Amino acid sequence: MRTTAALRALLDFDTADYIDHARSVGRDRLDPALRAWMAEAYEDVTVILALDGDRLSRQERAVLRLAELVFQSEWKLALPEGESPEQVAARGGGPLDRRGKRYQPYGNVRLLNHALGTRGHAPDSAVERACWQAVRAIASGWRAYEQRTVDGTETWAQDALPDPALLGERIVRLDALVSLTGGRAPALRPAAATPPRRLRDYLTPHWRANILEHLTVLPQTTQHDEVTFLRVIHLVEATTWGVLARVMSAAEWLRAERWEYASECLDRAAALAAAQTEALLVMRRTMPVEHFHGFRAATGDASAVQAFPTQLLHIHLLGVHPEKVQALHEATENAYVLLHHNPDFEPLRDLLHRVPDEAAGRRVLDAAHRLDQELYAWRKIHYGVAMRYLPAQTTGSGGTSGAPYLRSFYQDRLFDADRSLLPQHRSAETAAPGPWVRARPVLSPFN
Amino acid sequence: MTTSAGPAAAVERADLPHGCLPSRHQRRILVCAAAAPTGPSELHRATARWQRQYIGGVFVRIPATATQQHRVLAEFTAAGCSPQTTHFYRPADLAALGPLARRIAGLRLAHGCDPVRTAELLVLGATDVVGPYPPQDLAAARAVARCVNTHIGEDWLVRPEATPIPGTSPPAGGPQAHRAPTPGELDDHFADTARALAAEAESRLEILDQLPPDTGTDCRAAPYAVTGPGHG
Repeated sequence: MRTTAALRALLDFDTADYIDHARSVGRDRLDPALRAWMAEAYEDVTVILALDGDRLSRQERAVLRLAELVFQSEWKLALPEGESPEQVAARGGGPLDRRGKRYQPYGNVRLLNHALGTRGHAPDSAVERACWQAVRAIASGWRAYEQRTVDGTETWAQDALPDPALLGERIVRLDALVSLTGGRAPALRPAAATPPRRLRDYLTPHWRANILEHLTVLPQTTQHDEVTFLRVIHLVEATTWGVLARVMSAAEWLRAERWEYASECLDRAAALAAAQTEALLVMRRTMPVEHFHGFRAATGDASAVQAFPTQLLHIHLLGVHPEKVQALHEATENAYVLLHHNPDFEPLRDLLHRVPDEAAGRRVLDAAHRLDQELYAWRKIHYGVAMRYLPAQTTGSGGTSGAPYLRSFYQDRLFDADRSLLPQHRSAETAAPGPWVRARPVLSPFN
Repeated sequence: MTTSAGPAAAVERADLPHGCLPSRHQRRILVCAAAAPTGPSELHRATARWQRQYIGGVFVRIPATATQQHRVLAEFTAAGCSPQTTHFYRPADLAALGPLARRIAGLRLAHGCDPVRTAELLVLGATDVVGPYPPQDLAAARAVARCVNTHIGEDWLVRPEATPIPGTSPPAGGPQAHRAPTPGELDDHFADTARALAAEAESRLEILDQLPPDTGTDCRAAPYAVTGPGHG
């Protein structure tokens, strides 16, 4: 064992104190000594798991697996300015080791993925179920948070509150989003009212809800609507994973000429995409522009171009869009997605062109069209969000051009306005990422 | 009804009764390379195509000796397999599977089978196994997966199936041979793959952590136990 004391300190880490402190002052203003301790603790955890894992009890191992995700976020955020890929390579790190205020640690996305079960080779049914459960839990928890804000009983992130009318509309919209989840999956056991004290308390049957309610929502500031921003990020991530899982399965069913199963997968994906749109509208309709500007600087280099489930979904539907290649190269954590840019990769659009002209085939195309409509609606709203919240000629976070970047491909879709399948865009060139980039499967422990 | 890989018997229904959509995993393919030289073959061409279709989902098990490794890698890279998109690994790279193998052995489902081989299939999440693989270890992996999935109530573990080498048209972009990695690059590649396999093994251990303590006793009863080749 590296040191018994080090292990004991990790196992006894006061998670509740960390969460309460981060929420009361803003994560950006956490005690630097605590953040430094957590960053070092991440390195201790990885060493213990790699070298002493055999000597840990089953519970100790489970706690450290969770601790790795919690502490890694602080390890990555410990470097407030962006770290370049060259700097990462110079210290022997790989693309996943890139530090700085990037999307993944900003949104505690790895913890979210842990709750969704998308860090392992999971069946599509389990991913879909977990996604619906997460949507319900996140929307319900967020709704309760806003109700406590209205009642004057909430204690954290209460700066720059929206006016009562907007808060009221937000609650109504969240109720509607919760309703969309009805009948889709059994609800999770409810989260604890306050953050559990120890990491081992996140291994109980309530663990998923506790992670979604407490561990993932840590805004950088005390601005109220940064909570909105984070909650929408999590809702979009959750729904995207569900859509992606069903789209990948639909593609395999199409290859096997199992048309009914493909239709069903695409229908289920469309339902999740509809929920995703409703989630984005909660922010679009109830968050004033000036509120976004109140915390935007605190998001640092975080950008949705770094959200790899969204990029992978687009690729599995439509292939790699030529206008995105440069931005994907620069989001080095996920540059491996560019490996899909080759003539043998068949996105859904390719496979749909081979569906037979008979009843079963037409049902596949109908389901694909419904999904296409939902995702197109979401992309239009997302583009509108960028136009609304980002001043003209402002670069988007993460180095893209913001709204112009989105405009260049938001109309890339499966079907034309007259419901004819659009042809697949072809490029003779491949867009290979740097030689140090390795492929990984969609559902990977590195998520 | 659930299945974890490959097409089942053809069933065409206009409306699926509720709950009848089989769940499926993302496809992952394990290719077992032969020790003896084969020259360019259907297997190499098929692997080159698969690794471009299923990014991150193709694993190639190569022989243990250094001489054979170089020869096998040269054959695959000449056919178009890239070390960026294909996970080549040696038997020695499975060292991190020890804890999982011991847990699998504790289930006592398959006497005479190699728990490390069983763990290998489950860690890779192999939906398709192509090339020579001991049939009793394949059957053991299927038995473990079926038992664990039944106890958990979800198809978390994949039940691998032996898949024949398809008669494959060349890769759509034409043959694109890749340079075989240098010894230094190869060492890095194996280290990266071993790290990925260790992470996958942790993921499977998390699944087994959900089992009740007496699952081994339960699993030894039929129909889970493997009693000979072809079962599972």
